[in-house]
Amino acid sequence: MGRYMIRRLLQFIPVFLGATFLIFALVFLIPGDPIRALSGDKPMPPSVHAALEERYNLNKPFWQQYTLYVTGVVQGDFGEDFRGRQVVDIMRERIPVTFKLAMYAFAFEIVIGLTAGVMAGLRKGGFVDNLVRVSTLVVISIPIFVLGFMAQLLIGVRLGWLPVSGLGAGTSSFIMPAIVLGSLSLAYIARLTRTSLAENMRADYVRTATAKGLKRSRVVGVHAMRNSMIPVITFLGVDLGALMGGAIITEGIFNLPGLGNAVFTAVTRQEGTVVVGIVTFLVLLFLLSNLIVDVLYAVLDPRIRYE
Amino acid sequence: MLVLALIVAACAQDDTTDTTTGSDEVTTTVSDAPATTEPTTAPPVGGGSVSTYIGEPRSITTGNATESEGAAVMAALYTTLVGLDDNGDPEMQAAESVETNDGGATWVVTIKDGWTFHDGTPVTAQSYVDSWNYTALGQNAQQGAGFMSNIAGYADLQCGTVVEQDEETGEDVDVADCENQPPAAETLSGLTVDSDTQFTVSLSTPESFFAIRLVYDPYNPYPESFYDDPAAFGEMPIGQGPFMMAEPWSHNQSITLSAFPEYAGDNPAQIDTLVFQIFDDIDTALNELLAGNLDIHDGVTPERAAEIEAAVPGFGTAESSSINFLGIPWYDPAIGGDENRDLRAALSMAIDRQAITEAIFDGRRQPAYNLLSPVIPGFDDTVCPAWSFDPEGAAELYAQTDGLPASFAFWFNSGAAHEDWIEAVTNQWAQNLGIDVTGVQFESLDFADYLQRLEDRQVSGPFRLGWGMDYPHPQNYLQLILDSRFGGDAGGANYGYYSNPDFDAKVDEALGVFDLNESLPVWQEAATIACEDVALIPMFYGQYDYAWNDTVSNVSVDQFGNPRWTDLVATG
Repeated sequence: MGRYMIRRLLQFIPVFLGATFLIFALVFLIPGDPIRALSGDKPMPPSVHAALEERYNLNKPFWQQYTLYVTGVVQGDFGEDFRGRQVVDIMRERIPVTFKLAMYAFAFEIVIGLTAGVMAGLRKGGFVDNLVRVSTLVVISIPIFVLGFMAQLLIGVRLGWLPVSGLGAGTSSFIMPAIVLGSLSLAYIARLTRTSLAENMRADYVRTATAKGLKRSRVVGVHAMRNSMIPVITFLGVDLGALMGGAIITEGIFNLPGLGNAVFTAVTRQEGTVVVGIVTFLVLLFLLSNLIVDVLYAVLDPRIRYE
Repeated sequence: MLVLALIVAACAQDDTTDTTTGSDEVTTTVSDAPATTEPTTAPPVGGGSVSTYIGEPRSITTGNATESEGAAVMAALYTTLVGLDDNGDPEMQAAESVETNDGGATWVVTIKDGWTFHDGTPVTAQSYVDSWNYTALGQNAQQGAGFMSNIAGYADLQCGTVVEQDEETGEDVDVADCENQPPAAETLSGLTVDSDTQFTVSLSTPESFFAIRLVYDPYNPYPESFYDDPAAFGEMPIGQGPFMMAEPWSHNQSITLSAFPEYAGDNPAQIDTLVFQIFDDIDTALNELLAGNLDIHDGVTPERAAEIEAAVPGFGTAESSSINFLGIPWYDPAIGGDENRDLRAALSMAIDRQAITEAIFDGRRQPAYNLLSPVIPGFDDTVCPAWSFDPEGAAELYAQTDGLPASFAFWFNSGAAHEDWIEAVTNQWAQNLGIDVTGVQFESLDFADYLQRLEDRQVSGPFRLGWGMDYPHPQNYLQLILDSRFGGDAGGANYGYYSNPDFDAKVDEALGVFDLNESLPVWQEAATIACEDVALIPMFYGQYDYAWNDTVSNVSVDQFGNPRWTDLVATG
């Protein structure tokens, strides 16, 4: 197990280099002059344009730009955005916001999603099962911005139960956005758990466990659930990455300055340093969560071994 | 949202056009409105806190705050040398006088005595001169550098050029290079400090409207501390205006200002605290206004204006200096040049601007028949027939031309809701001119890409062009948008590269008339030349919709679209 972990961690290095290179190249390939766009419809004096291009190395060929960037990163300098702010500062500001949002959403989808999935899976075709299937179908079919906007208008503006937007109210600021953000994954988790559990409940080993006279809670909780969790855990691992980097719409609607939004605006402004910095961070996070998922496989299913 | 931030200045006119509506209780009980908080500072401060909407500014320092979001904060942190009164006429603010004795070649600026920055250091003539020098210096890369370009010695502060081969054409072109060709000088030779309160500005070419320019933010001063660490200063700028930073800029969240107790100007703040709440999504800010958590929203969108007007106690509308055009690539053989004049006239006359503003913008944009906005001196609604709506005349004229090519393209920047009105224009061309528009391509480009293609003359077919004033003078529109010496690649905004020596000569003639009122007819003659050439097609003027809750009163916006911060009174 130890050697396996080390090998996996070492793999992070080429992935990190490859990711920075690819992202850097992609941003480079976006057509248009990002410096010129800074002054909008208004003219920009040639000297200002030249000075800004030099500051961001945009007057140099691609290879030189990339080498300069990587050299900087190795020395701990992640560069600055077109407003002169350090990328490190931007990330330091935004990572806690994104992390909190993702964690609340994650907790919400696990607790509610698993509960709904288990209840539906145990009584396939029953009332709860139908309720879960219909309600998750509704959630999956509604686009997230509709959900977010409606929730904001209804719960925030009309009823005033939760803050409309922003970070001002501490933890309660995150409740509504987390529910909106987590709702889609919740639907998937509920459905995955339901199907997986329903299938396992018919398996021989469950019948054996029941025949042995084990309590139903132990049959379901230990024997059936443990085996049903593998597809769910796989989904959760992928989902964590999506929650961290893909919350662009939710962050926008609820005015939460997180990573997703930062990447989105940086791409539109062609701020390579910001995009590469944040996306690389997200890639590493994604790798880490997948590593944890793989380790969890072995915990859940003793037949799976790494070595 | 990017483009929202880029519409540089919105604008309001005098009281007659400021059609403020809202509950009477709110708007009429201004003077005796009870303040909720006891005054904690100087007597003029009535107390209380007001929050207002803003997008994340690009910068809130003098030389760089040239877009609307930064300008809103600048208006509270600084008092400009010259301001605009309620009628839009210039009035002295931080300046005692701005005078010339030689027809505009040199200007003597006398500043009011006894002003201090928020850090207690005195505001002197030297503060202004140092600040202008810093902004003008090429290497400092300040967005406002161009506003110093007519001050003598500006060229010496710009980076030299090197010859490079153009990637596409293979021709040798001169490219500015600050690394290898640093500027020859660091201070503008045209600026001299005469005394603590007076400095003289020599211009490269005489200019009658130099004093009007001084309403714009890049002419504000910096305190000494700025030069030690400009980046740190940018997080917590120090001005000499009615409000000061209460805490460092909390990026993407808020900028909190407090009343400056030592403010030396005539209009001190009435409230203790002014909070700019930063929103990424304008709709979210509108929802916060509806929920009563935000006091003022000064950017109500046309789509939601009716809803907001009905739901919120205060709602106001004011004219803006912004205008949208259809640009014409003068170099495009199918539509540009003298030979296609009638074609362009037919296209322009076939557009029912009134119908478009009503159908697409809910009547919250005004049809434009002139290059100048109604808030600019010299505005005249009808310049020449080519910019009016005349479907029969258009069809008749169109029949005599070769017509548009079977497939032509419309160019505009994406993500700024231009699709709808541009589609409406094509539909009207189909309807009024019988053009087959099935082959029309809509080239919706990312802003950076769009601007570069305009600058590189790679656009064929009409394109969108927007403009808002920097200072209220016809020169800011006519010369910068249409003078052939102000091309998009030469530090101007003539992106269509319209070129008519008669027009340029008329601009020079107008610039030579010192008295503003006497110069206006000449400017209008220049506009008429552009109209007869159909160098551009004016589409519609912007409008400024703002709303507020009953927690604040005395809300109005200035000619740049910023609420008059010092007038605000907190009532809730």
